[in-house]
Amino acid sequence: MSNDAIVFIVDDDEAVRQSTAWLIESIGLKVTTFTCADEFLENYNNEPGCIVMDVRMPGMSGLEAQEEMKNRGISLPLIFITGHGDVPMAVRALKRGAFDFIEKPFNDQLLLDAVQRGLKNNSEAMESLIENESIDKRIASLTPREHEVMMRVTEGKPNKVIAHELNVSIKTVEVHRARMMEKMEASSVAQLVKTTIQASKNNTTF
Amino acid sequence: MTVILTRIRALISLSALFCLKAVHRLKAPALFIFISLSALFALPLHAVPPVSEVSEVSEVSEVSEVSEVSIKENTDSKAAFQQQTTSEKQNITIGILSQTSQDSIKNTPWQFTFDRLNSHPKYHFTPLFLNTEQLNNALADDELDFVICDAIDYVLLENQYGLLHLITRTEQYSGSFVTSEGLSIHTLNNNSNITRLQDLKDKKIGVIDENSSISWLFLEKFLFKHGLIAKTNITLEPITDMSTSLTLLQSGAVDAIISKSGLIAKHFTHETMEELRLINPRRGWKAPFLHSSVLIPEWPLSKAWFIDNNLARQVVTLLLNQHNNESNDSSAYFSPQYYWDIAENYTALNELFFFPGHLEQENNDEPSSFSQKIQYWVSFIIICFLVVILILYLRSSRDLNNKLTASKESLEQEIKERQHAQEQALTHQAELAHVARLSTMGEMASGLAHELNQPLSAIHTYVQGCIRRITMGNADLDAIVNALQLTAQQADRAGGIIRRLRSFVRKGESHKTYSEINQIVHEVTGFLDTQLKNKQVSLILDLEEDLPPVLVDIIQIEQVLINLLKNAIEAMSDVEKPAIIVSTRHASHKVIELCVIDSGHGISEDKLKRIFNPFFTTKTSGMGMGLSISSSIIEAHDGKLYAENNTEQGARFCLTLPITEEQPGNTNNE
Repeated sequence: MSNDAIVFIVDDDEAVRQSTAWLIESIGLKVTTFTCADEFLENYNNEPGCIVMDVRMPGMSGLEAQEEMKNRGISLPLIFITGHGDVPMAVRALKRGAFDFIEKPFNDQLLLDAVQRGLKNNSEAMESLIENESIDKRIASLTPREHEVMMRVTEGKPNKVIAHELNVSIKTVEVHRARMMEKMEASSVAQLVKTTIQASKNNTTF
Repeated sequence: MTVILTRIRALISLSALFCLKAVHRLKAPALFIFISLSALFALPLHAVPPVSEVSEVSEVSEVSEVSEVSIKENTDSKAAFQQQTTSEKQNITIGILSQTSQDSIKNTPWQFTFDRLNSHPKYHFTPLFLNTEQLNNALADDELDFVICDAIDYVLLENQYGLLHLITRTEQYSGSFVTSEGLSIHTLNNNSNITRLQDLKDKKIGVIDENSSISWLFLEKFLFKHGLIAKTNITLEPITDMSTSLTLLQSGAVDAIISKSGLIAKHFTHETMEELRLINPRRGWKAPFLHSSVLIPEWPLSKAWFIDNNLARQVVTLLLNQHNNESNDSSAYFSPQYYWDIAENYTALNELFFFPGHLEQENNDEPSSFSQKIQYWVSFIIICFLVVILILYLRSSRDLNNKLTASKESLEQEIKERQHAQEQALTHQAELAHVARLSTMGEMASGLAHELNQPLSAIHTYVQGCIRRITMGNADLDAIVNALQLTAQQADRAGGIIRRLRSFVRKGESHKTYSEINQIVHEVTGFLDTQLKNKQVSLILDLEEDLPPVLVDIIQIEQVLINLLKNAIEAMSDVEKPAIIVSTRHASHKVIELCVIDSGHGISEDKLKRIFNPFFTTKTSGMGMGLSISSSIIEAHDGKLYAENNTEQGARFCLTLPITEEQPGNTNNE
């Protein structure tokens, strides 16, 4: 969990906003408050953390803000708090990827747990994101011939078969294979397979 | 008659007095009744006097003015007739009472009289012999100018036909003129029991009536005057043979004998007369004998009421002059003749017949003649009529009075009921407004729950934060105190919401205070903040500053405003970017106007007409009473609530409130 993580609180009611901040600060977390969703969207700068947001607010509502964040690629865990939540609203919010849905007046432990889980989730997501990005970079650094060799290696084909399919000599295949393994930072075929699976998960195009 | 008249007048004045009393009680409505009644009274009032005058005239038996006028007319016509036929003498008819029918005066004692009369150059006098009944009829028809009859008949006719005696007939007797006769009552000289006429009571009396010459009517009247009533307390025995009378007396068969005066003296000897004694002896200057009764005067010549004094004087002159000029000529007639002398006194006889003394007092009032009877009955009927009218009037006035009282009572009752109903209506209006507020609160319950939820959440969260800090030992005391202060603020906030809620649903009478309309707007919009937020409605307040305070029931005006705002919010449920403008302004120097303008779809024309009707609603929920009650609340504040569509989009609901001069002392009511 990164120390840089910030809990963003978005609520139009000052008392609720300040008291929530007071509670979250009591476990030593950084808190930033906003009076409406627009203010948050304007000022957010890709910091890690999580969001605690009221569903109903003047101007942009919580659900609308959720949509907007998705559009902007903001993937912070979003915890909704609401004074009069109903089941359909909660279902809708969760379907759209809300991290949690808490009714006011909330149990303090429940909120704090949710916040901490959200922060953890966020930091993990950040880590996986960084890893994915390096895999993508490694794949991107491959030449087309090396990429073709990698695809056939992960399919379990021996060098002789690859050489035949690519209509090159075995020697050439071995050279490409060695460079590819180096670029992909894979010490074994198994590790290479793992990396390529990760990459396919992230929807990275090979 | 006079007595009756006096009675009628007294009765009329009495009834008038009653009427006046009644008028005082009934005032104006009775005035009409009184006037109409007076008119009714006036009728008999005018009708009575002529009747009375006539009756008085006939009672006094004097020739009235009316009679004189008619006499004049009569004589005038007669004079005119005379002028036309100068050659012919005017005919004058003289009725003569005669029980035997006679056609001529030849060889009657009247011959001399008529010869005298017909010596008059202008008139021809015709005798007409009539019996009593015929005489009556002729007089009734005014056919007779003069009448000659016996004194008794004259007295009877005088009253009825207004005859007036002029002169009296005489008979020459013993060298002197005997013109009167009376009754003598004799008893035996030694009979000491009978000294006065009254002593004849319960006695038997013989009446010498040889030739039926005695007037039994006169006899009875005479006895009656002295308390003797034939067949009741006295027995009358006719004696036809006079010579037996003394024997009857002496034998005690009769206690006294009655005869014409002079008759006894003529028949009995002086010795016989010694044995007899006259009862109640009196002497008349015209009678040669003592007698007991008043004298019956001789026959009078009387004139009819229409004969004027001039003719009468000429007749009297002719007849009285007979003695001087023609007494020597009496031998020219075969039988004794009647002569004439100045009139005798007929008053005594009249009194005997019409005022017969104390015994007949009770009969005195009895109307003697037919006309008097009629007058009597007419008066009686008039009195009855008046009394009936009076009774009816009093009864109707009493009924009217009762009705008036009843209607007054019912009116008072109605006024009371109406006041009660008005009070009830006010109470009902307040109750209805209260119910509507409760209903509004019910509809707003979820919003209110959220409203209350906010401070409660904040409190809870603050406190939990404090607890965590304290338990973890890293308590920054200042920060905690600050948080607790914020907590207290939130508790206040929650309390404020509850207070407002309670005052809003408070039951109670209208309580008006001078209030700032803008403050009410702030209160209400604050109240509805959550609702507005939830519905994403933007609220714009366009409030004119420095508005004068208005005298209103704050809760009720808040209720109206909440209603309008709620309606506006609901009207814009499917509108993009809904917005409400609440504006206040000085519409005129007397009126403040408050408008709630929405950006909804507006209201269709037909709905606009019915929108303030009770139970009219366009919503799926709700009773449709909100606007109706709001309207009645604003009307109760002497203001107006109206709705119209905006020119561009949406509708506006405006209410006006009158600006009243602020009374010192009311300012602190708030």
